[in-house]
Amino acid sequence: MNHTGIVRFTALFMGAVFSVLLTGCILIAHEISDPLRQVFVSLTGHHWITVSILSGLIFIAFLIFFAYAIRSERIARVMKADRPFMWSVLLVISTLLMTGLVLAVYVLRYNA
Amino acid sequence: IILSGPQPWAHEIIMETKEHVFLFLPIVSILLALGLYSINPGLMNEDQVRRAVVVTAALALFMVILMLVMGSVLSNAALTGQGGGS
Repeated sequence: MNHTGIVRFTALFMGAVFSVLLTGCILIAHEISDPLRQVFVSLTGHHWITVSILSGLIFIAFLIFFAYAIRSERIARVMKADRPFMWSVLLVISTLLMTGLVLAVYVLRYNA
Repeated sequence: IILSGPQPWAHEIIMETKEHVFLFLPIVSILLALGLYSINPGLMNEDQVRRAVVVTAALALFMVILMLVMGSVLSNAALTGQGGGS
């Protein structure tokens, strides 16, 4: 079993899962909070562009973070870095969860 | 057109959701590309790795289809707003 290769491969999924979760939280936060939305508008002129740039930066940051963090055997063991399938399932769950929550925010706002 | 038509929810809910949920798609797609790039022949023999790639590809496909469906709802709402469609 190519343990090092699997761990490095799984680190990509870890970065993606945390990126989706954080991006989803930012999306919901800026829809709920007008001041935050205005901050985003002031940065680039449009809130969506700001969120898009943030999303990209967050993804890159998490990829780099986990690429280095996973070099620690203790962290790799705790994070179950030898289970890429588990992390891919977590990615599906987190993506669907965030999608559902974003949809829920707009449904609630529409019905308010 | 959609907001002033009979299905304003299509813009308020579907359009807004689509334009924001879309941001997850590049994350999943780039992950899939990086994952496939990093795989060597030895790694591809690992069952966990193969299954992870398949699950990620399926998620990417699902997101694309979701965008398609949302787009169709919006198009229909726009047509209805213009006086056509169903």
